Amino acid sequence: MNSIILQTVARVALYVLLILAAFLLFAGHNAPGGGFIAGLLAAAAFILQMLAFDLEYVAKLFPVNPLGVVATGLILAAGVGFVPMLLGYPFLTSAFTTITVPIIGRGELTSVFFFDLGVFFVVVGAMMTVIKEMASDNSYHSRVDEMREVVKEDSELWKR
Amino acid sequence: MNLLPVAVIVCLLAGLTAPLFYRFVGSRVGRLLALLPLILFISFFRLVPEVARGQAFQWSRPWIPVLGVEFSFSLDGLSLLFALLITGIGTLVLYYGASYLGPKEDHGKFFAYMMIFMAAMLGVVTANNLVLLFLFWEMTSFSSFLLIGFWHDRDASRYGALKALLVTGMGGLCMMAGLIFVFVVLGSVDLREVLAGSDALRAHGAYPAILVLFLLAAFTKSAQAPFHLWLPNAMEAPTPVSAYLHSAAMVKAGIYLVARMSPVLGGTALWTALVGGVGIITLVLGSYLALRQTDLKAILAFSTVSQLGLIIALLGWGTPLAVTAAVFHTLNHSVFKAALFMGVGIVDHQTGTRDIERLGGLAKGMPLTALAMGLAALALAGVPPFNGFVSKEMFFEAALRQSEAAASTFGLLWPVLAVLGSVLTFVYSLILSHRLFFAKGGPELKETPTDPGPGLIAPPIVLGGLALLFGLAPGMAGRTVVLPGAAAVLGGDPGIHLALWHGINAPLLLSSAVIAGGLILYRQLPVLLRIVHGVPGRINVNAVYDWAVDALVIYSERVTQRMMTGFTRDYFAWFQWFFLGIIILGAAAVGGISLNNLDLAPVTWYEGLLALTALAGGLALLWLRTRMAAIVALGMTGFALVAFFVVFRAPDLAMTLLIVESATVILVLLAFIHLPRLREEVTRPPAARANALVSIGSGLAVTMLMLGALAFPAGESVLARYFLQNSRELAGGYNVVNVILVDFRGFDTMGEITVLGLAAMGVYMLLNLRARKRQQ
Repeated sequence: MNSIILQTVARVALYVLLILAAFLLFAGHNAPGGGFIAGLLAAAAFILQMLAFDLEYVAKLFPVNPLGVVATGLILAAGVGFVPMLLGYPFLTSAFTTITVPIIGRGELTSVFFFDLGVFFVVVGAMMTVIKEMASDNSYHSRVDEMREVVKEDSELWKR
Repeated sequence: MNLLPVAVIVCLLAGLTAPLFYRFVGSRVGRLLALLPLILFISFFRLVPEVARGQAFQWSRPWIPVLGVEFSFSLDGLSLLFALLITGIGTLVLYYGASYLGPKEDHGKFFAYMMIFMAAMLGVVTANNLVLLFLFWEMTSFSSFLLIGFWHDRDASRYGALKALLVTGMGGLCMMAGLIFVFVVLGSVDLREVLAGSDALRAHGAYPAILVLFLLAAFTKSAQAPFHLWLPNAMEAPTPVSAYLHSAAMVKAGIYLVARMSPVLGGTALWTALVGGVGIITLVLGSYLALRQTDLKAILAFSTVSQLGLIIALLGWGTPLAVTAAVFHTLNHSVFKAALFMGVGIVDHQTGTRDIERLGGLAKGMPLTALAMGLAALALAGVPPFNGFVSKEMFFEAALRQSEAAASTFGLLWPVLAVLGSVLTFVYSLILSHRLFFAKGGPELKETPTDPGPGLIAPPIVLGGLALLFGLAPGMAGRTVVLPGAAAVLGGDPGIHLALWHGINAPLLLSSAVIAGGLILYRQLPVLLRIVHGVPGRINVNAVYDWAVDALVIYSERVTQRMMTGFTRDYFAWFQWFFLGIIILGAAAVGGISLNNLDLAPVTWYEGLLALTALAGGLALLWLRTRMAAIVALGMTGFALVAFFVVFRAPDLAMTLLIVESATVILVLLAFIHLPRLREEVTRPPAARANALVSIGSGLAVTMLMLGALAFPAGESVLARYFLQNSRELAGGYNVVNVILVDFRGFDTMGEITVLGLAAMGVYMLLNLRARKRQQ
């Protein structure tokens, strides 16, 4: 696909979507949002780039191993669970405090935010792994023609 | 008492980082890591005076308080003895292993497995909670699997590793069942509380089941007949591994469990019959089978089986004398058996063979090895003044008292079998020492083998020296570790004095008889071996094991082939049938789904329209014959649902589903090229009818479930009220849905993201494997 309109929109949309994802991630504790939605949205932002450009472009934007992102998220989430244990509380005990940040205002700082961040990383990583592996399967290009044929046959079947 | 968790954690961390160390320091990694158990040994040893005074160290942190599960460690005399053995012999084994492994072997991996195993063993002997004990127990099974299969390119290694895992793993599962029973009966899995409730436990109807389950765990681990089958195959491991697993560690975990549970479960007639009986039979069987072997390591393997039988039998008798002897012999056996394994490893290393038929007269070239193995073998044979003599005297005395106390003449079997086993032990001990090093015979090796460097020879000599020292001054070991260990089992001072010389008494006569009988038999060794080999028709437990494993594979294959047809629709049908069954059973269990309080709002026109759209999408799938159109139809249903969530003011769900639907459509499009073409398949009428039944059934079931949920008065849900009231108070968040996800039910989310991560890894592997296969 090589649409200049899509590419122009996608370029801008990436930042809008990522900012929205960040917002959802932070807002999750008190308003609709959370790590899962934010992760999906962030991954969707990259999927849009892949549709508009190609996989290499996405690889440049997202220059880390997505499975590593999954691992980071899992370790982060588990780590949040283990920290209270070192302090003598059961696994995954949460703590929170209210802080006032200049400009932004009063907000809660809670330990489960880092758990949510872990969820976010796992979702983004998992989605990116699937997308990357599916699209970069090295038979991809050789099978594109075959796919076109299949689609053509399908549409003929449809006409009947 | 921080040492206990720290010891386990540090060993575990050392194990996990060993491959990294290996990259930096090369094959010195083993010697460097040997410092860690040495430090731990010294730390544990410094606690000896306090523990000997009867003080027990505790450390605990809550884990799952609801179930009484804690990270709880404790150190009493028994734990301390085992901890000293694990770290002390561990130090020597690591030092020895560093020289034993060739430069081409992967030292990093080897020492990683060793340290993880050591951590697991330390955990087993210091855990103060049955659940924690079970976890470490399973960890020993798992890490010993890796150790036994270290040379995984050999068939025999893999076979041996799998056998050890299956047999000991089965025992582990029995232990889990046992501890669940204990929890059901006593409501606690804390060892102190279990000990306090031991009378209630013994009086309970489930006592025989609990006893048998725990004994199965211990007997599989300690290779008691008929579960001894895994141990000889485990000899495929590198010799340092055998020296560790089969002297101080793995097999001793079973001894530890029996000793630990004996104040809880012991003291009954059933206990004495089962534990004592199995032990004494294993003693005789093991020593008899050891005589049949020609491979030096196989002799040692069966010797281990038989010596463990001796200790188990003592624990089964359970008198203060017997328990003290058991604890003392645990120490002694670890010392001399580790030395023997190391010695055999040296012989193998220097001559290239372990076949007794091909070896003989090695003392000329290898005097130091002969010294180390000679000391250890004499200790094993029970010759004065070695440590094995002292504990065997106590064994004989305990056997004699047991026979006096027995009601019937069957009691006479105890000392008879004890002496029989000891005579056979004496004979194969001489094979391991005299025949190997001094007897003539065996074809000449190409060059005279010599003693190896200090890295290999020092550890067995140290251990051989200890075997002599503990024999000459048994009181020294007795006061420091043995009597406190026995006191921990008995719940009080055993009142036994360990000494080399007890005067002329019945045990001494039995010992003399064993030595005399053993010498005569050894002189007539060819005749004895001919008789032993001539005994036909022994029951071969290996054949049973092989048959069971084969049968398991064949039948699981059949079940799998029946279920895994390769068609998604079949899997889907299975899911739906299962789902339907669960719903029907669940509804039956609660006495049907009530629709009495159903208070439904009127359906507005746009809601009806959305429902029709979703329905149309679903129905269209039935007739669409192209994939592209099917995806669009599926998307239609999905987006109609999104609209529903918007209408019903669930922005979280709407947003999530919207992104999920978009991403799914793109993913399916990407997966397009991987899918085979759509084909028309003819479904036979019976299968079609079944499909129709299950789809209509599960549709109805879901509808009923939803209506049932609506009929449930909303205000009465305890959970909903709890979450709504406490979300702000306990977790500091207003978004109850999210607070439930990440806080109240955070553990579930943890599991879900783990599954998600695994799925991503699965996709990665499947696609990459396929690509690689296509390239070939």
